[in-house]
Amino acid sequence: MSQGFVTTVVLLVLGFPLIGSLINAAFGSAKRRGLVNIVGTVSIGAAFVVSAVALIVMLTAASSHRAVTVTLWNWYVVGGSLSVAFQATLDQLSIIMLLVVTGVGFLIHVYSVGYMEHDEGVARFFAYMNFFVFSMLFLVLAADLVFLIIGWALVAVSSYFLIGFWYERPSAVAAARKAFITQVIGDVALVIAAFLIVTNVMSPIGTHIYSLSMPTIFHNVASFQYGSSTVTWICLLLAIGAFAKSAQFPLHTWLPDAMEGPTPVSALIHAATMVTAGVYLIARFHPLFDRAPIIQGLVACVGIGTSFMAGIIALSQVDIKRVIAYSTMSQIGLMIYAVGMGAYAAGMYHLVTHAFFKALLFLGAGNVIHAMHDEQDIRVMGGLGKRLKITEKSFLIGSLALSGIPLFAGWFSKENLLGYGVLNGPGHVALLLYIIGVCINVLTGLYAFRLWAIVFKGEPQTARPAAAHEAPRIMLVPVVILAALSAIAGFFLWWPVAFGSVRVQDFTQFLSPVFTSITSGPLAHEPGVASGWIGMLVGTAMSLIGVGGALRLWLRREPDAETVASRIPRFITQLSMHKFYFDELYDAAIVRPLRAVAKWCRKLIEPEIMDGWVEGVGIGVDDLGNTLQPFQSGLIRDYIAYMVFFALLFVIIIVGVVVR
Amino acid sequence: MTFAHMLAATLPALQFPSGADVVHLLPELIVGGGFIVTMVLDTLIPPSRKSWLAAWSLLVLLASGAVTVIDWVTVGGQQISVYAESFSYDRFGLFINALILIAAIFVVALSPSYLERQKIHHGEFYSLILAASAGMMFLGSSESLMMVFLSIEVLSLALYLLSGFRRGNTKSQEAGFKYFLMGGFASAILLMGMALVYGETGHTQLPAIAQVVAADLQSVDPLLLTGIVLVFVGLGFKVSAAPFHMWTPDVYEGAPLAVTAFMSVATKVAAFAAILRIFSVALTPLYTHWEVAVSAISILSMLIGNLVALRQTNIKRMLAYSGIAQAGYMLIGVAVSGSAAIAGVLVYLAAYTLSTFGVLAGVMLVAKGDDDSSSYRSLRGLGHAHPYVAAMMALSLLSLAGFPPLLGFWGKFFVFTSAIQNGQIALAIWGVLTSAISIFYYIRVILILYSPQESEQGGTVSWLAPARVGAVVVGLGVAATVVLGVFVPVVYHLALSARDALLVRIAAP
Amino acid sequence: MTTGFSWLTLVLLVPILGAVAILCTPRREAWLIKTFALIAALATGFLVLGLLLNYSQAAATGSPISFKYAENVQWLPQIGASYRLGLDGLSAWFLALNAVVFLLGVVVALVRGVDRPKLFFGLLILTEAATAGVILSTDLLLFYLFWEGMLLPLYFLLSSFGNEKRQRATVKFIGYTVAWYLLMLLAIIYLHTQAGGSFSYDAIAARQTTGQSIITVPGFGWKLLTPDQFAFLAFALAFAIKVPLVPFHTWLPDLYESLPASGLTFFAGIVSKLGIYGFIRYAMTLFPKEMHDFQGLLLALALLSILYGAFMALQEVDIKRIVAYSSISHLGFISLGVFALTVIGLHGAILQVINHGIIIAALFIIMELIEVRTGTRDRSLMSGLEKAMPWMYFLFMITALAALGMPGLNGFAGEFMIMLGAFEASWVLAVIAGIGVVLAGWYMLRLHQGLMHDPLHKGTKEGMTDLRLRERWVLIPLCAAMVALGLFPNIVGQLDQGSVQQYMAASHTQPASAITQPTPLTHEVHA
Repeated sequence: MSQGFVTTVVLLVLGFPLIGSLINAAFGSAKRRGLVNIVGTVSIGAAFVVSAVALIVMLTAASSHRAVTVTLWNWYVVGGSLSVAFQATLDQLSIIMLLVVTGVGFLIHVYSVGYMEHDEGVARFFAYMNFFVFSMLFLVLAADLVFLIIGWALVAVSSYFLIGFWYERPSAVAAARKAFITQVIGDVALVIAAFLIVTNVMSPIGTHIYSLSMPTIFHNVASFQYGSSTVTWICLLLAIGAFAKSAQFPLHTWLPDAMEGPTPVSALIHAATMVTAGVYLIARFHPLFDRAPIIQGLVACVGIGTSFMAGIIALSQVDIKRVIAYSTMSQIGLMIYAVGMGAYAAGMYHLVTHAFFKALLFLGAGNVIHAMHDEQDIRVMGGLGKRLKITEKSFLIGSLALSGIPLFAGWFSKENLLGYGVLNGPGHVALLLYIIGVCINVLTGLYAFRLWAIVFKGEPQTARPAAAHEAPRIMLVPVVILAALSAIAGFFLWWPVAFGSVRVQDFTQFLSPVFTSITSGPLAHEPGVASGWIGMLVGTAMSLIGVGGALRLWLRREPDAETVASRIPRFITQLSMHKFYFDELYDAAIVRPLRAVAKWCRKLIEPEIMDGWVEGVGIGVDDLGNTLQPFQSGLIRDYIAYMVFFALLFVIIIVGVVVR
Repeated sequence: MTFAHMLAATLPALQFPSGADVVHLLPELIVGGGFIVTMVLDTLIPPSRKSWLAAWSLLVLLASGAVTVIDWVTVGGQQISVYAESFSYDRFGLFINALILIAAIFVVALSPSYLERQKIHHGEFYSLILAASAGMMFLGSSESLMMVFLSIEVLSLALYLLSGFRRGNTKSQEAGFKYFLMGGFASAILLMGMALVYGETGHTQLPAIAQVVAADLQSVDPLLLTGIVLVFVGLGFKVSAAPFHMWTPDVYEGAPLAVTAFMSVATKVAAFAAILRIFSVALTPLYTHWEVAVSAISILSMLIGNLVALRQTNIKRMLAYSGIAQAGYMLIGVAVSGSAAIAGVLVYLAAYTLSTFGVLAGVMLVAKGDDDSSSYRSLRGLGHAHPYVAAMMALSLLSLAGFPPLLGFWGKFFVFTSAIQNGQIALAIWGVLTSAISIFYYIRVILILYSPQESEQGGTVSWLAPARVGAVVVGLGVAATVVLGVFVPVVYHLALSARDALLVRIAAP
Repeated sequence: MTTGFSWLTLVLLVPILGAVAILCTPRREAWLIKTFALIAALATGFLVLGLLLNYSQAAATGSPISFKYAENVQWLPQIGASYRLGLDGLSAWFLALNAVVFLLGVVVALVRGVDRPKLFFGLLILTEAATAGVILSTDLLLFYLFWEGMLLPLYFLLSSFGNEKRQRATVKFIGYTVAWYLLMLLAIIYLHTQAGGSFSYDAIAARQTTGQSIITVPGFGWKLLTPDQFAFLAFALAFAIKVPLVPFHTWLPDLYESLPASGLTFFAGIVSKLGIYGFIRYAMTLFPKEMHDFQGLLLALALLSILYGAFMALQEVDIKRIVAYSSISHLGFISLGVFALTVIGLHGAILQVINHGIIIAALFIIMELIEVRTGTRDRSLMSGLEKAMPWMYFLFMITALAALGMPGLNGFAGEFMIMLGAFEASWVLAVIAGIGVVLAGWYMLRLHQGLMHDPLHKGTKEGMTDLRLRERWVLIPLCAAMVALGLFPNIVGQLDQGSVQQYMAASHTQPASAITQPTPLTHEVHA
């Protein structure tokens, strides 16, 4: 691929969504709904087409010439010290992200045309959505740390816009703010990581030009000693950034709240694209993570832990979108676990399939919510399958893929991902993580089919489901396409087990130059294809157990929640219901103390100390003036007495000095 | 050692003044002669035409001013002894003359309308102003202790009368009486000091005293030092330096505004001229002995003046205390006693003259009724009613506060510079800290000028339309503080010439 | 000694002439007064633009900092004071900002209208001349004259315009400013004696420092600071008050609260930045040793300002005061960039000065427009304004994001460079500053969301309008600048990197060669 071609692709891919966003922001209105819809969807579709063309061109190129970095302009150059340029990279990793973002994004945009049909703020909505896609593409194309950070933050801000889209709902406003501030924490971590990287790329400090260009950094990655504290700190900070974006413990509390946004937003941002950026980041920075084993382990543990926790919470939620949100958190936890284990391609693969089936689930949920007139509580649903036939089938496919039922896309990616752990991790810990991982399969099956069963099967809990009607075609088509992808993507992308020597051009092979060419450290190699039959069988079995359990619990017997809950220890249900008390904990440990400090500053420090010292001096001077004034008695005898006294005093002093 | 004895010692040298003597003292003599003619004219002019006297006095002052300017050019850098070393004809004296004349011109230009309003429009006013001016100008040129004393007596007598000029007003009467008593006492101290100096040195002429003092530095007689201190106390009283300042607020407050303005400015200029001639020139050899006293008085003046001024609610009293503080700053210049310091004090005096007058003139121009209108409260809202008058006052106040680029800043700047150059950093820091205090009471007045009138006080204060002549004259003065502030080299150059002339006699032998 | 045409004098002269023209115009001819003000501000702006465009061609003279367009006219030769002006890579940007914010002040005053236009515009244009003088002078006495002289028009502006609190605010401002400025004057005089009787910047920078002589308290044997350290502290205190660094800041919220937006554009925009300017131009280069002696203290104050300002902004309810405290926090950032004493930090500080000048002006304009529409400044009495004013929402959003350091907007560019520079000095600095960034996100969103989102407050006035066209066109260029400088900050960085190097070199006691030796990086890009 030539530089010129890549520059064109980058500009077009970024340009279409941005221009679409600007047009809708400037000229769009609810009255010009047709224009808004066309601009909003076509801009993303065009970007997808460009990405697809780029993929084809890339596949025709030789494997060693598939990664190209272009410099668009200099951002800030300090002669002799620093050089930051806007650089974009088109390589195997970024093209996959481009395709996912624009492809799934396009479908969701089309869906939104139907979903937002009656909303007054449709122009604003599409402007934000296009801007989000632009930001996400910006993030994945960036080849310079500063631009990565800019994209990182643009993504956060567009998600902030979209979560708070219905700004007259206080809960939406609060959720948006929470999401944004969490993201800022991640941004700051990334910024400081960038500082650590540039000041350490070549040593010693002061004898080189700081460059934030990622190819340069990776090329000079030998500057970082394997396992040194520097690289450990860098990777810790990068991981914090990734955790914030991917809603991992302990920065996960914003994601469920973020469901306050319109459902297509949840599908696009909080399932398919933005929240996976953390996975992308760690994969992108794998040369550094490969040198920081402690942080790799930490990332894997956090991923699996978050996944488990989210699975448990998902079991008790009653808001349809929150259930899916926790499911997202759980699945991303698995991806994070994978990249933490060094299985970057596996993580990326799950990222892609997850984008399909999770977008599908959210859009399906959107159809349900649409049909129920903005009702999200699953306790009032039930039996919707009779009314929403296509949605129900699609949702079922999504749930099957999510649960890891064989031959659906999720099965390929997930079971394989888990398989790496037991094979490649260090000893007992890896085994433990793997065991937790397969337990998560049970949880996944449970919550996925709990949702499906309660919403679509059984008898309606209230009269409202009876009045529900299927979504219009424009909302069904994307759902069906996604359902198809969820069902068959696994076959297209990757056959997980090598049957003899027969292998297609698979996902890992395609990505392998990215994950191997730069570094050649001890942990640099991708674990390879052979995840092993055993791991896969165990994982699949666990998934089936989970699904079966769910169907047994919720489909056939239709028990009330209390009966089920009574069989489980109370503290677990409480933890699950209260989302492990993290909101309360942060409120008590961070928000309240900070507020208290701020209040203390305002009530005490500012008036008493900061202002106090000034006023104190003023008052002191004033008092001194007051003390002196009474000497001015107005009586001549006093005045003359003072005069004589002082005259004599001066005489005595001066003469006394001389005489002595 | 009596006064008669000293006089007798001086007299043999005195003859009938020569033609040259008259020429050299022409500015002083014009004003002095004008005083006598005015007294005569006063009896001839009908009461309704008293403002003719103002015009006449103005003419006299301007004539004297013209001669001063001509003299400045002709005398060059010389220092010429006049009338048997009683006076010195030099640029220093002429500089002082100019400042005093400016003050006198201001007050005469402003007085007619003001005196009419106060119903004290008497012809004596102008003759007394001329008399006081003459005394001050003589003081500025005096080169003999005798002449210093006589000049002070002349100016003081006129001012005693002027202070009590509002005859019907008890405060004014009290002011006149108080000033008279205190002034008499101070004169006695001054004379006592002079007598001691004369007794120890055998001379009344400053150059001769300087020679005697310089010749015998090893053994300094305590009596001589006592005399020096007493002389300083006497002069310190005139410049209202703390702790000899007690009379100032009472007298300033009681005296008519015009007199307060004149007295606060011109007296200080003249008395500082004497201090500089005596201490910074003649007694420089004994510097180490009197430095402590002058520094102490300077520090006290800055402290007391500024602190008590903070508490004032009457602009006349505020300016009295401010004047005390300003004397303190100028005394820094005396205390460090460098040659740069003298020029600094001269610039300071010029700034002080223009600025203090600017403030009081503003009140004089628009004040209605009694002098009570000089309370802060009655100044509220002047900025809206008479923006130009208020702006003049504000600029003058800022100049007093020492804001660049106004002339007042340069006074402080040169004085502080000389202090630092002579290693008196503590004095400079003290000066800076107290100036910071001073900003508040000056700005407070400005804020009052520009704040809205209080309506709950029962009706708004009304002001008179300012008299045109006075307004123009004062406007020129205020403009000068701004323009000369920017083009300060002009003033500084003049001050340096005056300083150089003062030092000729010292440098010569 | 003037070389060529006195362009810099013209920069001072144009506003002064404008002020004189306004002074001579009768009060009733308001339109003429406004025209004069606009012409003066525009003409100055074009002049400055021309100077910047020709900057690279102009000849440079002087050391340690080489100045362009240098002018030197003898003024008070007796004491070695001259009328010396010069422009370098640092002052060029301050001058540009100066021209922009005053033009903005005039425009805002025209859009919003002022009572007593003659007084207002006259003082405003006069202030512009004074601040330009502070920026351009290369003679310490001249600098001081402008530095304190600048307060004159400001005091009149403060005491004549603004709300009912202005009197108290003015008095407080005076209390802070004057005392310490006079101490700086003493320090200048001291330097003058040390430099052999010259006030010229070059001479004073080249003076032989007498670091050895210690002030001792007679009779006790106490050894205190050196005279140079005293002088440095006098300078630093004056600048710290102007910036303002916590704990010398309490004049600022009161003052900003009382001033109208037309005054705040330039007060917050340039006047407070002059403290930063002073730190770079004077404190850093005239006292390299002392700067290092007190670096820790200064850094601590900068960090304190960042955090304290943020905390105060979090609790404040008056929207103008929130912005005022945010300004304290941001200036803490800028100070951090200066005090880190690294090339990158200094670059960041200069960049952020420009950025913050634009952001804070826009914020105060927005606050005033909101106050006018809602009739209150109490944050708790406003909400849901987005519905009534989408334009306001949008432009306020960009401004708020720029203020909280949103990457991609200009605030980030500056903060990034500052934090990188600080990181070079110590990672602790960058981490604490990072906490400040997070808090900034919090309080800025609290402000923006609080006003714009949620249901409309019940007590809100009826019939609120969105931004009018002309109000929009005041804010749109500012927002465009925020985006442009966020993407292309190099515009600021490239004017004169040599000057920044010179400042850094002058701030180090070691020879300049020891600081930064550029060597090419071997692997630039792998493709």
